[in-house]
Amino acid sequence: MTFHLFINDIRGLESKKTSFQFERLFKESFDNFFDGLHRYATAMLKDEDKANDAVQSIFTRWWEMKTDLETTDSAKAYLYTAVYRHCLNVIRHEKIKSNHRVVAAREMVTHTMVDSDLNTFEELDTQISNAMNDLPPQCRIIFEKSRLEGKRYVEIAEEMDLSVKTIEAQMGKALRILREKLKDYL
Amino acid sequence: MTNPTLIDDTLLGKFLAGEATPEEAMQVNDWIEASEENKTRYQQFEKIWFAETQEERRADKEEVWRKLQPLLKNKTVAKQIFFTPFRLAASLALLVGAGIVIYFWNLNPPDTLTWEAREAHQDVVAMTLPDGSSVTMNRKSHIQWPKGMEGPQRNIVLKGEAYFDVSHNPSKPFVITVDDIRIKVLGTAFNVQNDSIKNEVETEVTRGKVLMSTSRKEIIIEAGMKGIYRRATGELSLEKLVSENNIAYATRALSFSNTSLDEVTRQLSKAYGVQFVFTNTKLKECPLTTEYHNQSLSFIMDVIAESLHLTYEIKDNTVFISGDGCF
Repeated sequence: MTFHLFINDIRGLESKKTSFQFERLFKESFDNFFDGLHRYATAMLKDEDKANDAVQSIFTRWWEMKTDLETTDSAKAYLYTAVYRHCLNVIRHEKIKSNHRVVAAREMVTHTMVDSDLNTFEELDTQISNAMNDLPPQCRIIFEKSRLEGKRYVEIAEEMDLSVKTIEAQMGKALRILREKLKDYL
Repeated sequence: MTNPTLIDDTLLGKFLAGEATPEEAMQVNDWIEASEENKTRYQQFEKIWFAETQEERRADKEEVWRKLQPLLKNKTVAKQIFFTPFRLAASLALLVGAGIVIYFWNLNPPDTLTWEAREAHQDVVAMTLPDGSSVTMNRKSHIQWPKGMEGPQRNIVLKGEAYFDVSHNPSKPFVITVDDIRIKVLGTAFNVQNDSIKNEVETEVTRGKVLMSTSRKEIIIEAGMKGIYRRATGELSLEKLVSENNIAYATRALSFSNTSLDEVTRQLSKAYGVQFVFTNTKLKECPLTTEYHNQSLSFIMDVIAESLHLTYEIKDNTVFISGDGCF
């Protein structure tokens, strides 16, 4: 009996120590990984406010569940996976209600812009459209489907009867060519 | 970690298109943050993609951090007290004292205490006990405790299933009695389930450690483990906790990894108190990998329907699932 009670009390100490460590890891992780996680969520959701909500909700969940992670690296992997799953859920859910990615992609480029930005935006947008016309035909179609129509790689691959690998490669190629052509505007 | 210099435009494209896996996203972000040159290159691609630069908005980080503050100020942090060796010794002495009391208490349960009780019928009931511990009772469960939690230890009698988050108080052990089983803790979060159909008592520990004992045997259950008492054999055994889905009725957190829809609906049924009916039994085999946190049942069903190309309908407490099969 005494033995177990002894263990019990050590347990109390252990869990306190863990609690301190957890708090430190939590704060460090927020500080180190916020930008990257937010960038990732923004790319997935095409909306910065939704990206904020996503990152906030995964950190909230981590705090509530106190999921025990030993190192910064495991915390990082946990957080990225959580953002990924969270965003996928948001996307799938919204897809039911509307063709969300198209709407969101369009909203993205028009929201939070003041007048002075608008001119630069329109100019850049025109330049991008022109440069896109110069892309090799297949490359352009794929890039448009992804960037303008907000379609996923798998969908594009199915529609065009190509492999996802091809879509990936063509998208990379499109960006590389556009960057070269638009050098002066970027 | 992968070499942050090894990155190509294909991967940056995938990242911008929202197609990157978590591993790829980590790789891209490591690369972006490795040098100013890389960051500039990414921002150029970003400009092509969004026709504007997504400036690294410090404001976002601050805003999210600010929103997390109420949560961070909550419990755990406030409860941390530093233990000196002297205080440890003192509380040990108290505990040994308490141990003896428990022993006799067990032989002669005092009838002088007034008990308070609470019952959950159709809905999950969440409540705080007089000592500050929180309990979430699943449907059809019942707990009772001595009025004001008086006495040398915090005694709880449970019927059914409940999730406990126990406030730390080493001088007053927290003990739960489920029929002939006792579960003793000092400060932790865990779930106790008295499954009358399987004739078992299960204790799942999510944080801390607990001691589970019968009149003859005892086992220590650590976080991430589950202790099982089987009445038929009188044996106590330990198992690794595969997921925390079992306590989703309390936490509203579910995660599935290549889990069959049959099992998913079983968990949802328990967490949300609904029945599932499959119009096409083939659908039961469809695998699902996902995670939900604090979502409504209709949100979860929307996502499942979209992921597995099926349709559903909720009528009263029953969810009807139909479709041709998953592909």
